[in-house]
Amino acid sequence: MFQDNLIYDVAIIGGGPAGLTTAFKCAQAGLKTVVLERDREIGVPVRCAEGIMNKVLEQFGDIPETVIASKIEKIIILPPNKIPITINKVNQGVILNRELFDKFLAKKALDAGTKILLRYDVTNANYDDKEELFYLQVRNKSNLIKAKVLVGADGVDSIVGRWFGLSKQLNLADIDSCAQYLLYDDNIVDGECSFIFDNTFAPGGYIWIFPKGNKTANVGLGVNPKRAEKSAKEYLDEYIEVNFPKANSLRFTCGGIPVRQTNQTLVKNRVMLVGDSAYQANAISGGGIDTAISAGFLCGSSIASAFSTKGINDKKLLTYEQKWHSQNKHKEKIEQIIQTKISHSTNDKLDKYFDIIRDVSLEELNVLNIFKFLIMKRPALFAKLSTKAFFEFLK
Amino acid sequence: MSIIIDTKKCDRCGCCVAICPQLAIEISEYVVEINQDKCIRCQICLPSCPVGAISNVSG
Repeated sequence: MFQDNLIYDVAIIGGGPAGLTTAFKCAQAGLKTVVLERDREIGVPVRCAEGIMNKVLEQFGDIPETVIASKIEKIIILPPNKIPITINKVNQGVILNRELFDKFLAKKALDAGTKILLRYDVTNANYDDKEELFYLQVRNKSNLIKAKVLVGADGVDSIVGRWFGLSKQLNLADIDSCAQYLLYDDNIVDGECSFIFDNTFAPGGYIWIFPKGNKTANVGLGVNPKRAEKSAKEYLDEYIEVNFPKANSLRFTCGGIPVRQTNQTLVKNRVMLVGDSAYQANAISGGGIDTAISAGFLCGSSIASAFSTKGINDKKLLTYEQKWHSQNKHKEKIEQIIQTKISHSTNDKLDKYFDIIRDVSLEELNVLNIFKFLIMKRPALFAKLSTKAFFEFLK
Repeated sequence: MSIIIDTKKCDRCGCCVAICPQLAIEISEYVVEINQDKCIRCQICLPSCPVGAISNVSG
């Protein structure tokens, strides 16, 4: 099954949405592609609130029904003063079954010709300048994996980026510490997604309730570890005790969301970063599947275009970084500013911000859109932003 | 003093790995381990942990 003398064109570390999408694009272009996954199963454990926009899913054509747990019909934002802001008729996003969605992406990548190796935990990587090859050491395996291009799709705790000097460690303010239960409770209303802002329960972050059908929902929260006085799990347990006293839990997971992202190096020599490892999550909503997939498509296409019979064109590998930043530079900057505002605001301040956007009808289900409105009403909040960036964003 | 991870509480999510300035924390399929030789006891990983699994012990 596994030939140790094989030289792969592309080795991708991490078998989540970012890695699998990148693999799909590379293999589709005929490149010898391998995905190395540390865990024993694709899609497990689910460290995710599982929300995704329809337009991102549409890129894959027909999606099996089982992949989608529930459609988002209504969004409720609850500020600290508990006067809700309701967005109806959204119909633009769904809650996924991530364990099945990731397997669907894996099948796509496999059908295109990717090899996926489970329980391949890469513990070291070296680049040989003369041979122009990466040599990857795998835990408990004697054979090295050889590849011409290395992609780090290894999550928020990415080691690839740090091995090759593309990224440094995150600061405490740059990560949201999150915990989540899959709750089963009579009070869960299917189709109603809630975002609850309250510094008593989630300092510097928010609580989410994303229903998954049959009275189940992902109920989780993220806290800013700089402001939090206890662990995310302790805050979440308190919230659930007050708001879902009779609920039973079907699953618990936790994880970190990167909330720093401007001008991240994405390509260095022949190393590329994609998804959470490139801090590509939305800093405000914390959503990371959409961006991971978009970046995976872009990264995979750039790699594919760089390969020819003459070898690898390094300039073409760089197009991934150039395109990503030109598409996202202003968006990321604004997300960052808003995220900083939210994470530093008192409950009173939060109430004031949310009062501004009350009764706005939004065409698109997007936290960013809500804040676009906030920017228009209160541009002074965003004084740090250049005028050019501001207008680019409002386009 | 040394920093230790309670493996019963740890969910292997990787927050501490992302935060560690020394690359002293290693995550595998089963456990997360702190390399005590690399660790500088800065304790920045403590508040990052979503389940409060990291603590410092004297001695």
